[in-house]
Amino acid sequence: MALAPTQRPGALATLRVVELGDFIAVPFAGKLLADLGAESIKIEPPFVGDASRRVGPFPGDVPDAQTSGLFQYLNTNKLGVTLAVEQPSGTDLFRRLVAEADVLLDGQTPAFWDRLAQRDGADPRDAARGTVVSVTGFGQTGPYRDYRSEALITCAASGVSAAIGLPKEPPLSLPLSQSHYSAGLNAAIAALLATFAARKSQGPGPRVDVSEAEAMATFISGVGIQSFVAEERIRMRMGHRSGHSPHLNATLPCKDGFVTFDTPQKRQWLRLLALIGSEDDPAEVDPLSPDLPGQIEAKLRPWLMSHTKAEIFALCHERRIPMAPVNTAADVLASEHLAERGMFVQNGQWTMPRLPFIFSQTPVAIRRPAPTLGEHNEEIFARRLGLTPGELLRLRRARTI
Amino acid sequence: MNTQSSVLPLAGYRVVDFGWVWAGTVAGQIMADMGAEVIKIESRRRLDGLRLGRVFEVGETLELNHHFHNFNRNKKSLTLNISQPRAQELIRQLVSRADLVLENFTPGTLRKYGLDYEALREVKPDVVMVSVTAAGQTGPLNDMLAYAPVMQSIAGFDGLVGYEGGPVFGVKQAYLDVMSALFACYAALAALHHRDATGEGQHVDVSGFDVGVSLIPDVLMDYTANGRVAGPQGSSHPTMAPHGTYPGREPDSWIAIAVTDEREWIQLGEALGNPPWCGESRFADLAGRLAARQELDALLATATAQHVVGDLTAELQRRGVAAFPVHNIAGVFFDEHFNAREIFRQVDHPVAGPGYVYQTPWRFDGEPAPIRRHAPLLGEDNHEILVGLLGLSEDEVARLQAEEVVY
Repeated sequence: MALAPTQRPGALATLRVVELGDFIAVPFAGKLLADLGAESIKIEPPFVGDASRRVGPFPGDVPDAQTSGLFQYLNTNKLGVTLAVEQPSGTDLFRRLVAEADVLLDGQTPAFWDRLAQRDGADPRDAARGTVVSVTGFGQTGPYRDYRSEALITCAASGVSAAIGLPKEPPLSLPLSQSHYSAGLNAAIAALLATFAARKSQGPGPRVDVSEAEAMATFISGVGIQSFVAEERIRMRMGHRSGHSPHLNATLPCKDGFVTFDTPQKRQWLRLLALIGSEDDPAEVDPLSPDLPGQIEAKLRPWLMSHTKAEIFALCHERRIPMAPVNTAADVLASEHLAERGMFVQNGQWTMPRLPFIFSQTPVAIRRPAPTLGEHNEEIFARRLGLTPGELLRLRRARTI
Repeated sequence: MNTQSSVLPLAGYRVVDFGWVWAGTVAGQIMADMGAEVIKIESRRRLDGLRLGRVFEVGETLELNHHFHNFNRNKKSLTLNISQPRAQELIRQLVSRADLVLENFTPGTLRKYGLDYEALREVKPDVVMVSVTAAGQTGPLNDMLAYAPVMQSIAGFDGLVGYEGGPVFGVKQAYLDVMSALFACYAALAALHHRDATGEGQHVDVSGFDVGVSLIPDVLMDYTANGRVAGPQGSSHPTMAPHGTYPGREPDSWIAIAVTDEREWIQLGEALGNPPWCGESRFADLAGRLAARQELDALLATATAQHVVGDLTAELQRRGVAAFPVHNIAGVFFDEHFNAREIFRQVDHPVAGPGYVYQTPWRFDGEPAPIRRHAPLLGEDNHEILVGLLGLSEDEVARLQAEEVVY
């Protein structure tokens, strides 16, 4: 009998993870591991919990620490405990938890660990026999090691923001805390790599330093580094157009919204002009024009305004002209393509996206929803670590758990 | 990390890399950086667009394109003409000695050549294959021809990028290419982990469209729960104000500032010399600042415009306020912190000479992954692989070259 997807073990079923990090970056890394089957223990501050519990969206806009959509998405498949790691009794329990883990995901500031190391004579993370992956805005070393950061800040630092928006107007960011998602994905990759490394040597696993700003400064902005050094090329902000593109690469209004074209090959934009032109009024441009994109846009705009996103997409898809509608949330949820691929899954009262992989043998699945605050305190602290009911009560009263 | 190549995390793993242009290629790049032997299969019959500079700019020869050098450092190059049956046979032999196959062809391409997952399983039952495409292996749009700027639009991403109340601009930079490559790399590592533990390989389907959707969960969930459809967001944030970019004194200089609580708001005011509007009661708490966001942004811009952004950043950070200049690539290159962290490295290339590449951005025990070798010249490793690994004779190789199998 074939197991239902939620019963087959994930690809990472042999991995044990402890996660201490707030909001998006570390929790997204943790979701990547947990959704692939790793046993994951998420540590939250007692009573307050992860910040994403407070951010929403909430069904009917009614705030509730358990129903925040972002929290529910980011923390699927995790066990949840509350622990004040900075209190000495909490630090003890933390050390015991991480001693058993293959991976510790750490989103605390370097200063946080400095204080505890000073107090206790050793960094509590040293107790981790597996790998420790630390994610901060700017990294564990360097002049900005202790800089405060948010997604807006690291996106600005990385060079990405400078190329989004209008030339003389304020630069914009990638949407919705993307810096944090990027950092989380980088951290998850580094965590798996570290487990490969750990197998090759005795002793504790590698201590990994992931910087949110650098993840984007390298993979995204850093693609242009030699262009800059050799030719002083700097990607400019050009609003709806792609900064340096000599061809049509732009987002343009249409009858019921916006569409985006990116046609790097001449035959692609020629097919587009053929589509919009007619015998009486062929759409022609001068291919040697210094503003070829502008010329093509000028021909396109009137035609676009008399066609809907869906019409334009249907016509262009069949002619292999690279473009797409600028989909809204409604469009995305209505996508037949995504529906056929099972992109949205039901998790309690929420409809949410799945992670973007389809594994043929070890499907990604939601085996348990995001934990309630401290849901697994009993299971982890009492049953696993052997704390007595008296000890648990004392720790609760002290707000350590 | 121990930077001796024999002890890098993926030392001992062999990857057959069919990746071209960006997404497939960068997944291979990370694995190569981390010590795997990554063999890039290429052919003069259909060159990786990046060798020609087709996608980004026109290069002059096959060996001068620095994007290619960046994405393909630490790899080996084997020229095999995939349309030739003998080449397909050699690739199958290679895969039988490999752990992982990476590819980003349009779905169905490898099946045409007898090199799809089912065919490769016959020669290597536990092979792991990761396919990354614009819209995935299945679904009505699986044949979609599109690049990152287009996929960013279809996934719901771009619709959020623009000034509040203004037209959609979209991201334009190829963020989804990077994220797709990273998800593909992650999937490969997870599948290898599973194979090492259980002996079972598998095929993983990674779709750029899926990637985009998975990165904007709250916007999608606000729609499913509350029917709200979000548009261009500007730089505003639901729980922070001020939150945005503001002009500095020098031309086209900007500072990003994010204030989360009252302590930071007071510190911001002091750093700016306490302009009178800072003390107004309507700005005293977050709720007030969120409500009067646009006015606040305008006032803050007049204040920041009197400061050099680097100096103001240092002062704000000293006071525990999140702030940083909006760097362009020049700013990143010359930044003292990124220099101290050495995020860019010069690599010597036999044809192009020294050129900068980016460092894979994570350090193991303080050490980044070494750049052990330049991006390969076309077919640079043919002899080592065909003769050394697959056991062909020199004569056979010469014959195959004449027949444009090794080509």
